[in-house]
Amino acid sequence: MQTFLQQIINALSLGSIYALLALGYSMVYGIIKLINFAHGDIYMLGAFTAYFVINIWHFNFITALLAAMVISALSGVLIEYFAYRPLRKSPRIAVLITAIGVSFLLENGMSYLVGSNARSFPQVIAQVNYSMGGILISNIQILILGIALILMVLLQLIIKKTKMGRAMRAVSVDPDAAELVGINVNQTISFTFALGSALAGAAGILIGMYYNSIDPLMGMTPGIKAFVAAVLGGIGSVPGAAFGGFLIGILETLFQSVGLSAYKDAVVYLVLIIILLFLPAGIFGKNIKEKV
Amino acid sequence: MEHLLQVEHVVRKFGGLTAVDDVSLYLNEHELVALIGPNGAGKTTLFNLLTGMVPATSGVIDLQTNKQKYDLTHKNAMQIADLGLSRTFQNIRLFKNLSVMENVLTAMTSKYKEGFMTAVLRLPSFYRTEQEMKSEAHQLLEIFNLSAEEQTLAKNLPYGIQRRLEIVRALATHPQILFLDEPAAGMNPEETADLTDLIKYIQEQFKITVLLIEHDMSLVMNLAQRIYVLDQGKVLASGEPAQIKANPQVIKAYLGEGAD
Amino acid sequence: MKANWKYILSWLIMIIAGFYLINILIMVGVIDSFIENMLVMIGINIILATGLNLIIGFSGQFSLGHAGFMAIGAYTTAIITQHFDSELGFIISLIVGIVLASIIALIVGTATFIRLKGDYLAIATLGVAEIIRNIINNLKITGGSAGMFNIPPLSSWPTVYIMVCLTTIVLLNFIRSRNGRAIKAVREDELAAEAMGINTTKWKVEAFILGGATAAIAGSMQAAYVQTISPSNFGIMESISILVIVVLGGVGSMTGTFLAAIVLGILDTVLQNFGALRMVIYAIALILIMLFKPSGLLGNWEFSFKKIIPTNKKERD
Repeated sequence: MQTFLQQIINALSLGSIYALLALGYSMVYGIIKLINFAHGDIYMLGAFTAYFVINIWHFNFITALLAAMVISALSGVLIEYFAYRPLRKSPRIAVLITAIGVSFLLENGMSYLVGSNARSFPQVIAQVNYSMGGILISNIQILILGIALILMVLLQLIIKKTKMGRAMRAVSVDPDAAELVGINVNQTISFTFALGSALAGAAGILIGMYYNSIDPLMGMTPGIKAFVAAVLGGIGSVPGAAFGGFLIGILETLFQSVGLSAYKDAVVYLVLIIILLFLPAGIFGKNIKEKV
Repeated sequence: MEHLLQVEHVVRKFGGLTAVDDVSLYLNEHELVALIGPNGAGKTTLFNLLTGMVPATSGVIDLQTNKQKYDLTHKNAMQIADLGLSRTFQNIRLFKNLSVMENVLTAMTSKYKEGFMTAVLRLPSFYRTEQEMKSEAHQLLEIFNLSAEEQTLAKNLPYGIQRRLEIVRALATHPQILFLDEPAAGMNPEETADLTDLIKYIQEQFKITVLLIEHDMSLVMNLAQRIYVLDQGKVLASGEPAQIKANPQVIKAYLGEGAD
Repeated sequence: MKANWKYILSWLIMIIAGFYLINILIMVGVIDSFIENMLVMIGINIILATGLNLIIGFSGQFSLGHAGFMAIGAYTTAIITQHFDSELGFIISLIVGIVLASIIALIVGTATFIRLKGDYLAIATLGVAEIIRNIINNLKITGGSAGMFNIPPLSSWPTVYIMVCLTTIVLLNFIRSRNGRAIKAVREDELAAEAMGINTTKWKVEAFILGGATAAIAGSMQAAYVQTISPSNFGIMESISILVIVVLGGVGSMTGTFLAAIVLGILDTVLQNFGALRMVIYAIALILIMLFKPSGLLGNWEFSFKKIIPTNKKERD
């Protein structure tokens, strides 16, 4: 029971990072129907931004988090503007390939600039472990979970309560109709990229603190896993993406803990395929009409 | 008497909406029947039910052919097409990036067998089958004045010709019953007159049964031997054109106030 | 019928001429082992990408799991030829690989194509490929994550050349037949195809099997040529790089696939000199080509001798 609870704690930390990433995938897919392959690399950019501002300018955690989010948001907007927007009327597969190109560019550009070796992430907050009835929880884990939850709630509020959020929902349902009723579609799409990328940036600094290690290719695998999480939860659905992220985190951790860690990827994909076969629109895809 | 197609008490619900509500109708061999009714009456849904694109919520659809009875109620679109029921669509659904010829050949896919190995190894029987398919397609296209357009991509054809090609494609499946969903939609009176002749010609020459949905009353009254009027998912009236014209209920429901 | 012989002969002459051209260039030393290696890799990529183009461009199904089928072929050949080191062993391993890949494609295709489309299908096929890779990664017989070494060198440039020709002929003959028309109809409009009596699932699965089988052939060629394989050769990035060839050449154009595989193969070789900047330049080139030519280099244009050799109108098509 103790180890089980311990694993759940670990799973929740990992899951919240997947969830933050999955949200960005889900929002972008919801609004322009693009699997944004470069999303995982934005998360890498966020981690590196935090790394540099902490090491060079000695930012504290909050300012580093904000810096990572701002730089990531900016990169997301720029990528959309230069690489995806010109292709909005092109076949979707062409945009997908462009996204893959952007992903390669970010990964290899970063490797070129800073070298491809992993570097240790600065301890911006000293790790403290609390023991409660034999279960170890670190302040970093609490921080990850807390920040992830706060950001998700904020996101939900933005989508539900603000004018921009309404515009996002409108554009994701029908861009042409949205344009007709006076919504600035380009601006809305930029805003969506900014939001999604900011979340990825936040995930980047959090994972840096959690694993203490970052490298230019760190976004590849979590990026794909997070997209799987978004699909699993039902693309376009905010609670779905969050749920999918946590589910994948839990699955992975559980399989690791029962000694089947070698097969954890296979299990994640197997669960994905089975869920898709029975719920082709993902778990939250149909029931929740709220699309972003 | 046994009818070719017998539809009994068919119901189709979409959530809370009953699109087709307890419809019974029949078609006889070599008959030309029209299905009319205001927009949203459930005509296209009925077509979708009859061609297996949408399953019925309840009711029975029976096909009586070659001295055998087939229950179509639970068959899918492909199986129904194989039994000789073919259709066109209200919003033309050609294979847009295929040529006119290929559109027609595609419709013969299940009529001609050509194995994987025969095709890949280009065995003599491949050329034989292709030749047979193509000469049949040539003939069809010739009859409908489309020979000159054989290599044109379907999407590049003018609207009226696309409609005609869709009918030819449906005929290429060797149907016994042809369902035409608003064949005259978007046509001018001259084109509609041509189409009227064409449908008559098809029904006579190919010896098939035609059921058509149409809003153009001149076409319906000229062509149809019998008419079903659908309103709010129910059969409001049925009978010969003269009877329908005189039916006060139909005039009220369908033609609306102020119609002559 | 008679006119067809002209085209068949033209193709045959081209194939044989190509073979002797490469042969002569190797003999006089224009093609050194470095370029020969590049040509073989281009050939393997052509086999992979034409097969994927059949699935994506012609049957309209989005697969991101091509590397999984390639892995099946590669490992089958590696395992069989290590115990049975002969030409015959290689041929048997090729056939076993094709059969295994076909069976898996049949199962995966039947299970997923009925319910999934578009990006969801892509993710499901990606998942299947990752499951295959994950299993290979953990088996003893496949050498685990280290992979397999010293695979007998049973494939060389002529073998790959012949297989490129054979698979291309099979794919083109398939596409230009009743089968090919059916899968294109499914791509164009699934509902209308069904209404014409076309068994849409069957045709989609058939194209998927054929594509998977050719990927297995490419895998066998690679294993027997490179002589070492490991699970990391068959990851998502491999599937993606095959997809890039297809899209770059033009979805639905086999000629384009050939061209893109050659262009990318040469680009890759030239960029070897740029060291760390190699992938950066590759990425920028990819983005720029897509921005300026979103339909790929050739769109859906196909090379054909019919367009070059005039025939009398009657015997056309």
